[in-house]
Amino acid sequence: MPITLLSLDDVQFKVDKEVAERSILIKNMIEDVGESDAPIPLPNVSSSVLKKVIEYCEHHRNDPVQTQDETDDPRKRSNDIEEWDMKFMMVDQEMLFEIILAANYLDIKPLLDVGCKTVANIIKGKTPEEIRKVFNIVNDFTPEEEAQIKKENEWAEDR
Amino acid sequence: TFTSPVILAHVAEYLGTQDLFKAATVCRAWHEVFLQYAYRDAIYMRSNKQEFAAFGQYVRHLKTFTVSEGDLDLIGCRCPNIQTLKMEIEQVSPDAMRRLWQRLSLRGLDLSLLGTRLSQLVLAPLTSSSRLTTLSLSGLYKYTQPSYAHRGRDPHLNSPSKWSSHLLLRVLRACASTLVQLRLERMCIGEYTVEVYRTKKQQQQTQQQPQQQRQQQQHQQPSSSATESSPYKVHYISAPRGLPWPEKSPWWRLPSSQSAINKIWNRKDAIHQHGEYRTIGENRWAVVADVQGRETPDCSRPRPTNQAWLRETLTDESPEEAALKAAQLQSVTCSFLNDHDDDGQGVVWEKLREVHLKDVVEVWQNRSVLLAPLLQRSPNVQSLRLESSIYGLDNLQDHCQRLKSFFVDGGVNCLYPGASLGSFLISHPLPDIRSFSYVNVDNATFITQHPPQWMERLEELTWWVPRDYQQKSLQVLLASSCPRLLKLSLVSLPWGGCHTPDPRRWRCRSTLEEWEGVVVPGWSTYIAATVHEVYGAMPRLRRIRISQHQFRFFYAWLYGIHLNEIAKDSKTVDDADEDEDDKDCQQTSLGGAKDTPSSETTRIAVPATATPPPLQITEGEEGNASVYQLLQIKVVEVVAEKYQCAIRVRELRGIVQAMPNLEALFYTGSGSPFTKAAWEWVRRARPDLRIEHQP
Repeated sequence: MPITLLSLDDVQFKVDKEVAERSILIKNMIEDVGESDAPIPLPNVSSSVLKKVIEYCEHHRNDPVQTQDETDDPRKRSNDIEEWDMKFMMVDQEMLFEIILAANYLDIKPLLDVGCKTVANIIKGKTPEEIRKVFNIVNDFTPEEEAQIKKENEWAEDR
Repeated sequence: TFTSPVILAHVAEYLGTQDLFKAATVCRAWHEVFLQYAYRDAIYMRSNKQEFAAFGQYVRHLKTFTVSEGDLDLIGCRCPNIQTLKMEIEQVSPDAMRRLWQRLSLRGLDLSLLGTRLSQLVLAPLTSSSRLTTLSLSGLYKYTQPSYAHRGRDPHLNSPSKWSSHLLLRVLRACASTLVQLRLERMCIGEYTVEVYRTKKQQQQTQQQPQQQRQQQQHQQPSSSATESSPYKVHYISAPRGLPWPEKSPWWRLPSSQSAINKIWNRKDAIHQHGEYRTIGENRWAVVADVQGRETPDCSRPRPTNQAWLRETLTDESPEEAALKAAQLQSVTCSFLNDHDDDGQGVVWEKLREVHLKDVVEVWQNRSVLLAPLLQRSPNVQSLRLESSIYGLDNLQDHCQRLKSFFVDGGVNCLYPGASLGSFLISHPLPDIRSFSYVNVDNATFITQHPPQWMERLEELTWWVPRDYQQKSLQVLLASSCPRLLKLSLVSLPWGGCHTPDPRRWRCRSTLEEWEGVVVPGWSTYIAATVHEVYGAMPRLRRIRISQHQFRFFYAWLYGIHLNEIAKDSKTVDDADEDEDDKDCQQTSLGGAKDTPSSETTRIAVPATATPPPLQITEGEEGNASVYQLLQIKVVEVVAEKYQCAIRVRELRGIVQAMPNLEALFYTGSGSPFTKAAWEWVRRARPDLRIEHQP
């Protein structure tokens, strides 16, 4: 049975139930309220982002559900990203952020993981200044604060 | 930009120590998130003494910290000032726990053992802690696994509920003199319990018997009884009092004994008929389903009961001494009390004010066996919250006389003897009741049709309005009753309500000071059409709660902008818009010169004047545009900073200007309700406005 999702900007998307239920949020909604023809409002997700999210869920519709241990244990995590996922995440930063936010809101753990891995891979090996430049972040520390933080963290750089 | 703490925390999980420290140097927002992950990552590498020292520098000032097992030693050594500890434990070293308790001066402990069996290794060290004022234990067993299979052992000696009760008793004894708040949840006590074991003889037989032979034997005797075909015996089946037999055996999770259990279960009628049914001890009933229909001798031994150990905990050897010890307890939240304390003597919980019972089955032979005794020995209980289960309210009228707050949440719909909750409520006077909550209960219509007299005295009401007809019944109730309400909270499902409440007909509309509207994202579409009527009809309204999505439209409500215009505008939020916000931020302040929008009017119908249009109050002459006199707004479910719903400068300016008396703006959730520019504007224009994040 297809499920209708309603984005922030009132665009409707019809998707298979099993695809929609990759989102734990939507799955819980359907379980709580029962199956209905009424569209499920997703007021925090715009249509452009929702389209991407659905694309991801469609592609991964047959993936096994992650166990709690796999999702919770940080030591079991790796930064490897599948080829398709890597191409999927080749978007501008604004869209990447929106996808991560949507994955967090919709509770789609694999998508959230892929998004965060992508961001983590961007950060890796860069200096703070390079990170600021990549993410367009303003350094709001005072020079004194920045010096103090660097001093405190010096020991980590030697490791 | 990437500044959401929630997202950054996820990202941090994929970074190494050095990258984490570098990320912590990027900006303040990143510093707050990444630094703790950096140190946390570092302490797993314990070989370096420098790291110990650095960790100590970081956490010396901390009061609250969430730790894993690996952190315990360091916490104990380096963080002597920690007073509250929240732990999620799968495996833990008993020595580490013991050292930790000895070194810390803990006042509060929140211990979650989800997915873990309660073990002596975890709880035993707690018995040495005598300073706890707040104790919260949860998830001691998996809530969804109701049974245990103990094989080859005496089920009584090794019963999990027995040794967990014993340990908890010791823990509670240790801190009984200081404990003020006790919260025990998801204990998996109060459900059906089945204990299955096999005798030594059977064990030996099973081990000696080749597997192939056993399979052949089972194949040849498919119709044999459960006890013949299975190496397990069902020792007994017990359940809390009053819990009816489920249609299906609840023990489908049992692995190899499942078949035997189901067969025994299916024979339950025969078991009843043949008298193999007895009460064990004084607190449990049981079906004795021995293999050959004979009782197992141990079945007659009384089993420890939950109520018994709680009583014992608080009474100790001397009831008087125990009463003094327990006198500090002010609040109790339990989900496991299901047994009746028959002697009814000893402890009087003088200071107990709040009782919250959840998932409790406490009805036996049509009378309350927990609630009534509990209230009887707690003469000063003023707040009672019942949640998700079956309660007997038959003998409670005397104890309910002094209740000031009565909360009924989540599925409390079955009462004994034969009375509905609705009929109980309308037939008891509840003279002191001031606050009443009725959530997730189906028979609300019954009350609305027969509103009890005590509703005339209510000052706070929480009501469940998940469907259209229940909204209508709410209208009926408020039109005929509750004239003194000061606070009204409406609760709904995510897409439940679609009717706008009409306060113009409410008797309480002239007294209401606080309104927690339905927090439904889609609801704003409906409420917007009559927002002036809704708010305008409540002249004393001073505090409202609203979702971020609704808050986003608040501006539209105030200025009469059609929602479509806002929706259109929200599609076009881009960098240029943020630049405009920045410009606004720089050039304007409250009462400042720039009030006339320019180019943005092409994208949104922003009114040229900063003064909101006067409200049109159609009914009720005293209606006084209360929305403009609001003192506090609470925005809930804020999801992310600079997200689609984030308030921008011009909107925030409009809202704040429209409400000059606004004192505070609270928000909950993981994000920020404003864009960065809006934050800067409000800090400059209204430095006196309290803006707080409330978890």
